[in-house]
Amino acid sequence: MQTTIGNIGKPSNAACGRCGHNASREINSDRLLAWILQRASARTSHRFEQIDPAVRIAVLIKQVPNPDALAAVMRVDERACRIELPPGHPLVASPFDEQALEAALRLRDQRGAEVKISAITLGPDSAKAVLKQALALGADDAVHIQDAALSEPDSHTSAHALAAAVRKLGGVDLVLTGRQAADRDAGVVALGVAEILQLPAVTFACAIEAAAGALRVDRVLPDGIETVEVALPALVTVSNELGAVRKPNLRETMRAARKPIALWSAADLALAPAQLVAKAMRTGLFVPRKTAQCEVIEGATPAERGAALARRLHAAGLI
Amino acid sequence: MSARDAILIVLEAEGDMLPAAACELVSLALRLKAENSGEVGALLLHEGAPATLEALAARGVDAIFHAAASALGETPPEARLASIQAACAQFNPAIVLLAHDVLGAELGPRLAFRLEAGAVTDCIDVAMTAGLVRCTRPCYGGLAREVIEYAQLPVVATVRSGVCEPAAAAAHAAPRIQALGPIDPAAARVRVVKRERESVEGVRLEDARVIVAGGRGLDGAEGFALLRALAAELGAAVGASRVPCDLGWCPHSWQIGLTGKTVTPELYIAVGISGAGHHMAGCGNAKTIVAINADPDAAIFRDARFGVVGDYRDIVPALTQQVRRLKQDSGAKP
Repeated sequence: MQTTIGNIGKPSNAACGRCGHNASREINSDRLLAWILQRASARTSHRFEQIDPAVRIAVLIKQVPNPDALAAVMRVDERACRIELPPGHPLVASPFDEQALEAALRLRDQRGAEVKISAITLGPDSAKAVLKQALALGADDAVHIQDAALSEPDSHTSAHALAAAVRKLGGVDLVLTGRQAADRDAGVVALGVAEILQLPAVTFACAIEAAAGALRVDRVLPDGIETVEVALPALVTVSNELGAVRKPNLRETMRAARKPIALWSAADLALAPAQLVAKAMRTGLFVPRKTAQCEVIEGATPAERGAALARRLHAAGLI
Repeated sequence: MSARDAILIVLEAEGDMLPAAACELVSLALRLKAENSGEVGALLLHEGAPATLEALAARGVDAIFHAAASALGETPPEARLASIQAACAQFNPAIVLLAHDVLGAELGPRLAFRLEAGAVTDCIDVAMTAGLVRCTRPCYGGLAREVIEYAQLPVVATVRSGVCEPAAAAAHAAPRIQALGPIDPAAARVRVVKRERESVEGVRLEDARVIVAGGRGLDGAEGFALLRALAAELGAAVGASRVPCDLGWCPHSWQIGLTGKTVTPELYIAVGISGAGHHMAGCGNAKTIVAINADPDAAIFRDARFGVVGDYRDIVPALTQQVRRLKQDSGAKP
C-alpha cells in the first residue's frame, strides 16, 4: 500500500486513524489546518498498511441511463410514470459526477498521495459498475448503499442516505458531486447533503485548488467566473466546464480489482424511518407535444435559400 | 400568521430595478392565490433602493418583507438564508417560490432541507388544489416533463424564467411592509474573492428579442464570425449550444440550454444546432425558431417554424446581406 505522512498536526490521531480507534470521527475542520501545516513541515514517512491520509474526499456518483444516447431510444410509459429503455441500453455514471471525480483526482495530482478518495453511490446492483469505474480511475475505496427501502428514492431520502454514508466514513473533509444528476436534472441532493451535514456548499465549480488556509473554487456564473474561498470541511458541486475527464489506465484498472467496495444498508447507516419516506411523488411523466409545422425554405442554391429566408421572415413581420 | 395556503416569493433586486424574473414570480403567486385563498407575501432582497420596494408594492402582493445588502453581487448565497428563514417563520407559507437561477438553485434546496420541506427545482408550472401542490418540470435532458406532487407542505420550488408573463404595475391596496435585519455577507462560510464579469457586446442574451445561436455544426470557432455579422444586422445577441462552449469556440457564458441560460426571445435562429433536448430546454419557449442545418433529418426541424437545409457558410452570409437590403429598402430599422 501507499505510504504517507505522519506529522500532520495531530499525530496521535492521524497516524493510524484507519486502524480503528477514531473510526467514528466526525467531519473535522482541524483537517484543513493539518493540511496546511503539513505542507510547511518536514515530511516523515510511516509505513503502516492502512494509513490515514491528510485529506479525505468523498465523491457522490449516480448511475443514470446514458444521456447522450437517450434521445433516439427513450420511450415514456405515461401510465406507469417511468421511462422505458431498450434492453442493453448502457447505464453510466452521470457525466457531472464523473467530472466531480476528475476534480478529486486533480486535487490529488496537486497534493500527492496524501489525498484519499472514496466513491459513494446509492442504487441497485447495477450501480456497482460506477464504483468499479471510479476505482479504476484512481479512487481508493468505495461504498455502495443498497436497500429495498431505498429502491425508489427521491431527493429527500437520497440526501439522507448519502449524508449518513459520508458521516459513517468519518473524517471526510470534502464532498464532491455533480451539479445535477443527468436523469432528473434536479440538483437538489448535493445541497441536501450539505444541509444535513451542516457543510458550506459551493455550486457550479469549474476549477478547484487547495489554497493557503482554504479551498479556492472557480464558479461558473451566467456573466463570468467567480472565485470563492471556503474552509474545509465543505461540499462542492462540479459543472461541465471543469473540462475533459481522464480515462482509466491499465495499472489502475488492475489495482482496482483489489480495492474494497463496502455494501451498506439503511440499517448500517442508522437511517430513521422518516428519512426513508419520500416527500415527492411523481404522478405524471410525458413527452411534450410539438405543434410547430416547419416551413422549409426552398431555393436552387444555399445562398438563394438564405436570401429567401430573410424575405420570408420579413414578410412574417419577424425582422 | 397566514392561512395554510399562503405563498411566499423570494425576490432579488440589484440596483434600482425590479427584474422581470421577479415580476414573473409575482404573477405565478397571484395566480395561485386566485385559485386558492391564501395571501401572497414577498421577501425582497435589495441594495437599499426604495424604487424596488415601490415597484413591488405596485404588483399586488399582500405583504412585503425586505432585507438590504450593500452589494448583492458580492454576497455569497448562504448569507441570504437567515433573512429567508425569518420571513418563512413569520409568514408560514405553504409554498416558497424562487427564480431558478444560479442563486435560487442553491437557496431553494438548502431552504427546503432547513424547513424539512419538499424541494423541487426548475419548474415550468406550479399548481395547488386542496392543499396538494403539483409541480411540472423538465427532466431527462429536456426530453420529458414530470409532474411531482407533494401532499405534505411546505414545498420550496424554483421556477424557470419565461414561463409566466411578468406582473405589470397597477393600482393596488398598499401591502404591509416589514423590514428585516440587513444581510451580512460574513454570515456565509464562503467568501467571494473575485469576480470576472465577461463584458457583453451589444444585447444580453437574457434580454434579447432576437438570438442567433451556433452549434457543433459550425465546425469551428470561425463560424461564429458569420453569426456575429448576422446578429449585428438584426440587433440580436449571439448564443451557442453546449458543444461549442466546451470546445472553446466561444465563451461559456454564451451557452443556452439545460446547463446554461434559459432564453425566451421572439426569434431564435439556430445554426448548426441539432436540437438535442438539453439545448431545447434553454430555448424551447422562443416564440419563433428558425433552423439552419446541413442535416435535413436534424431534430431541430421538429421544433422550428422555418427551416433551411444546407451549408450555413453559404446560407448565413446571404441571409445577412438580404436582411441589410430589406433594412435599407424600408429605410429604417428591420
